Amino acid sequence: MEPKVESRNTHLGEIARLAAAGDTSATARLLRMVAPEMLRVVRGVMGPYSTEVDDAVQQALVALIQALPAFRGECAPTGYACRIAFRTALGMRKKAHQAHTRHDLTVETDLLPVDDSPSGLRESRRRTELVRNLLEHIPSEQAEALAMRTMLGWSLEEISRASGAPVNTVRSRLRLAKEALRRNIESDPALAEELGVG
Amino acid sequence: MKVIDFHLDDLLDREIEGTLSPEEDRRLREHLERCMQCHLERQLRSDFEEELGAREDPTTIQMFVSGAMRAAHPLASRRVPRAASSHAWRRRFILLLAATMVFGAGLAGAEVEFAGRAWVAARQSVAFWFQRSRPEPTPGDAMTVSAKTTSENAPPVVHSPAVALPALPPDLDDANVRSQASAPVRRDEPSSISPVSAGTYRPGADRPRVEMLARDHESLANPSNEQVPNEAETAKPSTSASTLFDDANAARHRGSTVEAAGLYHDLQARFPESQEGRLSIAVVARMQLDLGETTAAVSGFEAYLATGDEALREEAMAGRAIALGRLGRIVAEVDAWGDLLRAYPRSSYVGVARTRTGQDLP
Repeated sequence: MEPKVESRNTHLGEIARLAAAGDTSATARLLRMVAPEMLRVVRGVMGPYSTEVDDAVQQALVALIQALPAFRGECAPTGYACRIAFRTALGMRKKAHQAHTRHDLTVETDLLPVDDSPSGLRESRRRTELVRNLLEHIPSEQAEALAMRTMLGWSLEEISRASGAPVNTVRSRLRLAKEALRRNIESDPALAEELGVG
Repeated sequence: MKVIDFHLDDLLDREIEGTLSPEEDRRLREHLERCMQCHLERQLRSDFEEELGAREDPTTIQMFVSGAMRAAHPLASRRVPRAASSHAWRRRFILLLAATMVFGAGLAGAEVEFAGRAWVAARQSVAFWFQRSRPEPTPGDAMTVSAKTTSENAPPVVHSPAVALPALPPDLDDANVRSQASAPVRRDEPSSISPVSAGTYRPGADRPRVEMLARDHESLANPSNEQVPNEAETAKPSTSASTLFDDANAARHRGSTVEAAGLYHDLQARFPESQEGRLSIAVVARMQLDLGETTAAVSGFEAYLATGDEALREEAMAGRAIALGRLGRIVAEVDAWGDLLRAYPRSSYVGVARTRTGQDLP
């Protein structure tokens, strides 16, 4: 790990410890430091056009504050925060899908095809949407690992620190998640061809 | 294990870091040509990087943080003491109103006509006393328009004293805030003012209490007035927009909410394009806010802001923010105060806005 990153993590860990002890000022500082990453996770999970991103971020931050007293410092604070953001966003996405299925009255804008986009962008959107849908159907540990890997661009070591799992466990989770993704694509030959995969 | 099952995750990481040796780079290229999963993963990283774009600006992050801090922490310490116990008065009058309804309904069984009149009169008196419960001459009003200075060309003089920070609504109280982490918050309002179109506001569309009171007033004056009056009866060619506006403001200052609401309604219907007509949208919205018609108030303030009129813009922005806060729409409220701070950095609402956006937090 780079010294600069290590120093930031140590600093963040200290702030998280104070926040967990109930220091309001430290809580506000911690939130300011981890919120950008949390926002990114929420956007990644819910889709860039979801109207519920703001609410999900707000809920995730509130959930983080409420979870802080239970934070024991066994994993990186940013990872802890991002996992809360991930679970909050995924929960909201699932609920939205359930409501959509039940009532079928509204159109989910993040699922709309982007007809006026260049084909490269369209394929890119299809791929990211594919990941988002997959996250709802694979075990949560695998889904978290895949989201941190693809949405946050984290390394195996960073995911390991965030989740508190050994690097090889993370590697295994990622492998299973990617296999599920491949199966999804291969089950639809048209999609596989469109995405240039297979 | 097949060769293809051994994924080069570490090399992918080092590719991002830019620390691959030429030999490792060659190995990775070869692997990516054969391994669909790693190829897809690499592509997905790039896709998400492009889709999620640049980092959010610090102001937005600060607003999220402030909103969360306010929502998650015990609210009592941040509540501003309620000015002049107007909320206590409000509660008493709501109870009085409820009691009157029960009384009126009971009487209705015995004497329908008498009960109806008593009910309408009671509601009027409630409205009257509700107005009186606020200090006069309207220092508690966030929006006071001097009717005498209003004309077709000159905007009215607007006094905008600092407004007391409203207490958070019951539906935003601790218990519900805590449950927000598991229950999605309805989000059907715009996060900023600009997307709102004037077309979304229709006076009377959601039948706010102000207008219901106005209709009750007409019924009281003419109990048999069930028919829609014809044009000849309603047309008052000698009445101008400014006269109607002056009359409505005067009625409002007298505390005749019912009469004022009716006059503002007339003004909006007959002179929708006049400046007075536009101003009346904001004034009615403020009245609705005071009467607890919070959703209608939000629509009213947004409709006024969409007209582009500047005279009451600052007050309308503040009113909208207050209303959103009372509805428990935290994110939208914080956005609204943020918009106000950007548009009017020296506003008399700066203190409230900074508190509500958490800019006064450590």
